[in-house]
Amino acid sequence: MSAAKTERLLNLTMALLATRRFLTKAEIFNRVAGYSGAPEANDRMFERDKEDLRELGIPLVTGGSDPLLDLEDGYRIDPKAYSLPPIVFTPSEASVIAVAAQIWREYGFAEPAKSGLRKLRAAGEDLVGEEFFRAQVSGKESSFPTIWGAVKDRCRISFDYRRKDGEISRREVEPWGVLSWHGAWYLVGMDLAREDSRVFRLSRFTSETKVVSKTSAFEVPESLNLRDLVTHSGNVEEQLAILRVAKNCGLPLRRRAVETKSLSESWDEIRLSFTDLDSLAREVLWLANKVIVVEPQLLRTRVMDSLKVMAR
Amino acid sequence: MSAQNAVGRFARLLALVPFLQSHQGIPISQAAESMGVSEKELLADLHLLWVCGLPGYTHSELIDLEFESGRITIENADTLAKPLSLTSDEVIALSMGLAMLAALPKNDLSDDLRSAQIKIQAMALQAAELTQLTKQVMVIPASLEAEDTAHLLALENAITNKKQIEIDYYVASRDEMTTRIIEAERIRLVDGVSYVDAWCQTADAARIFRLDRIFRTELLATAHSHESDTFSQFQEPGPQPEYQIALAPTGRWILEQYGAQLLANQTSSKASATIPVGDRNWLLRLALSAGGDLEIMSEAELQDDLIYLARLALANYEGE
Repeated sequence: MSAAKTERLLNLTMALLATRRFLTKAEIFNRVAGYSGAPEANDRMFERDKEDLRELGIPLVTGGSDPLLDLEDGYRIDPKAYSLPPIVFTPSEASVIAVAAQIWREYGFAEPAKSGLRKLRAAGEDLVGEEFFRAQVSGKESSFPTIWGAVKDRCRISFDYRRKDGEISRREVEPWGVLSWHGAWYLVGMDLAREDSRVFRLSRFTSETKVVSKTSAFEVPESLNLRDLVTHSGNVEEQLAILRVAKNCGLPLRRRAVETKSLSESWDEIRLSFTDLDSLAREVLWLANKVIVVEPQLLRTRVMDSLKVMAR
Repeated sequence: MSAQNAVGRFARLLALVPFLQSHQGIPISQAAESMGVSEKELLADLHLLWVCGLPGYTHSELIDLEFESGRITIENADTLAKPLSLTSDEVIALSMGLAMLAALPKNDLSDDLRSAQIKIQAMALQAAELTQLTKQVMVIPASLEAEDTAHLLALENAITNKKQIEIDYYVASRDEMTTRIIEAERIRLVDGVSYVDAWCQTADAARIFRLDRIFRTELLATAHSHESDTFSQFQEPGPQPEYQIALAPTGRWILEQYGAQLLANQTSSKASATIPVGDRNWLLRLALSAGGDLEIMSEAELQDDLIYLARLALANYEGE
């Protein structure tokens, strides 16, 4: 059934690319293989097929109607608008593009990176990446494709979200955009209950993300500046932590310290700046009894609460 | 196969046809690799193309394919001689990848990255949509610490010249420093964290090192002794024992981060899962860092160790 659909879409595209004049619906049903059903069934099928072509970005144009000659609107695809322009990459450009396409692995923008690479290769480009370097970034968060789709279609979404202090609540958001900051993805949008823009870290979503509106449900602000919104949201601003670390322990923490002083035979006190409370809390907990959080209070409470849960 | 897959497959065929035309006589295996599909999928695609063509659908209008020899030739497909231009998502995916690479300390690439980006953007199907969407998605990579940059450059030097390098490396699962000689293969940047894939002379095995846990590098005069291209060893480590764990909803990130698998038939709020574990001490530390979101079910002894360490840590605060 679906092989038939693939076949029909391909035949339709070829026919519309090859024709120099507009083909009416009747002509398409007569000539293009795959439209052999009843008229209404053909109509419905054709409407869906047109949607599918446009979804892929195929420039389907309508026109050619003429009331005098009793001609209705027809369809064609402009081969010039359709075709990848003849651009040639230098070997080193080709190599960085191949590496760049692999960055997404199976997450985030992995699918479009793969299909884009496929198209460039189809144009005859020899795209092979350097072996010694690989970069990867993930939209590991499983909600990523839904969120990006909602950003593009301007659909409202809802999800459960855990705040930095641990409180979980259901949010309904108009998604304006997504930003990856130092490896972590953030969603920026209008929080409908709070009637203000908010920044959400994707790794703190605690439920599936659901689309809860039709498309084009809101406008994105003209002046949208993702970087500014995320920078000023309190999610990524630098804070100072004061930690007590047992002698000879926690070397990665010590390395980032801006100040270290000896407290006793067995303990040092260090100061370091951090942006991500979640990950510093995990780093501290990893070292168990070898680190004590002095400040900030939020981090101290978080670590103590976690320890209480584990100690039972 | 769903309707969505039918469209996805159609999009793939629109690229496959011009690919075959610009690579007449290409072996089936090579074509499959370039298109990112299995040979089986490629053969199915070829069989489907066979019955497609222009209205009339006689021999002279159908796409003509030959691949019995193991090499593929295609004729009568000039309508699809060119691939479809790039969608906005495709341009964004490739440009953001290039932007990530630009943030790395490999300055000799910056001109290529910029020109590649300009060329890619010129291939966009919907320029207006792309302009809007590029305001709605952005990647800001972490910049490396000065020390890390120095180590990275030393490692790149070692990779290019195939020389051994001695490193001081911090082992997180034991919270201790080690010194070892490694043969670095490649650098990988994963979600803002850089890793070095290397053959470790000291352990006599393939190992992955985190750049920010390397505390010293010293380039040695000795050439690599081990065959290169051991990449598959880093991608797919040998089978590791599976431990059973229970995850709270807030600990779901562990699934994706560490390759844990949910078990079927979940009923309680804590989800049962299995996780591959090379070193049980590592699992103990991971459970500690997850702060109660991860419970170890496999070995009662490990869970006891976890409780013991958590109590010790808590006593630090209570004794203040």
